[in-house]
Amino acid sequence: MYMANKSQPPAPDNWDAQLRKGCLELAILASLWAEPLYGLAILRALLGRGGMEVAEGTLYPILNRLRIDGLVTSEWRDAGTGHPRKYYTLTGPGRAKAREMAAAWSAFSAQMDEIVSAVRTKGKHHGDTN
Amino acid sequence: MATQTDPRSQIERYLLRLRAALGRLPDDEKAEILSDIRNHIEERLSDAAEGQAEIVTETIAALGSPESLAESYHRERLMARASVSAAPTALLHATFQWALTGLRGFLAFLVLLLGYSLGLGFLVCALLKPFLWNHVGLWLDPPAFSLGYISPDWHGARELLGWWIIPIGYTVGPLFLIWTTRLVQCLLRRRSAHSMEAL
Repeated sequence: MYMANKSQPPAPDNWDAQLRKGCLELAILASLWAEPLYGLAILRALLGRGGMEVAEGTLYPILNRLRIDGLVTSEWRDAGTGHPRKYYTLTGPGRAKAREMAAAWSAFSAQMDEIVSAVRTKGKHHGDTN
Repeated sequence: MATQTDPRSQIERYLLRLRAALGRLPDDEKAEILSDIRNHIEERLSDAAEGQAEIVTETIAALGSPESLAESYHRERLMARASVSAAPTALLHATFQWALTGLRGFLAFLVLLLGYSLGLGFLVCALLKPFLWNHVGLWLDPPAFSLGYISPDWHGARELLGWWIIPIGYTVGPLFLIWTTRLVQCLLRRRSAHSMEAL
């Protein structure tokens, strides 16, 4: 499984995990929007802002891919902690990609909101009496 | 793993297994991955004042087995190679590097150069036609075709499209650029898929 979420047990068909997995790349790019961060700080930012708990073994392979793709650059910095920290920074193409993905996400979530609004608000179907 | 194990040797054993599981990745990338994971564990350790052995065990458990972590790296790399930039400079660079390795790469590079030249040629002709109307166009000088500027003292060539070069150039030029980009992206993707299968 890609993602761990202690607060919500995964749905029986693992749909919840698959959904989160699909959004993870955007979430990581978005977490780097304001400032460069190192790995553990990205995990904390995702947990702090959105309550999204990402498995540690999932984050680093994705960061490695984003680096190969040229969407982020990485740089070792001495953090005064006794060991260096690797900070990830969004590149120009990384920012463009994040913008593009965020726009696609907004459009998609608006469509889904519209589609599921019947399920969420009415709670009734044609078979219901009353 | 038992929590009583020396945390340092636990880390080293984990990294050793990860190195082995990463297989035939390039050495520099493998070293980068190992230092990423080592520093992640160190970062976790520096947060905790005591109970180092427990922290190491927890962190290693959260990372997953070295084999599954290595598999995630391999899987993500496959996706990286699948997404080929559409920027002309990136395509030229990637195809040029490929051309240096063999005949297929060389042919792909030729296709890219030819497609871009024709696309730009049509666009430039369409753009310049109103200003250099009797020198710019698509010319036939049997048996050769020529697209572009022709010297005023070259009388053997016959112009084929006349003023039609303008609408045709503005249509065909961009199409050549788009089709060439897509074709070369597709060739680069197929090449990446083949090279990753070898891993």
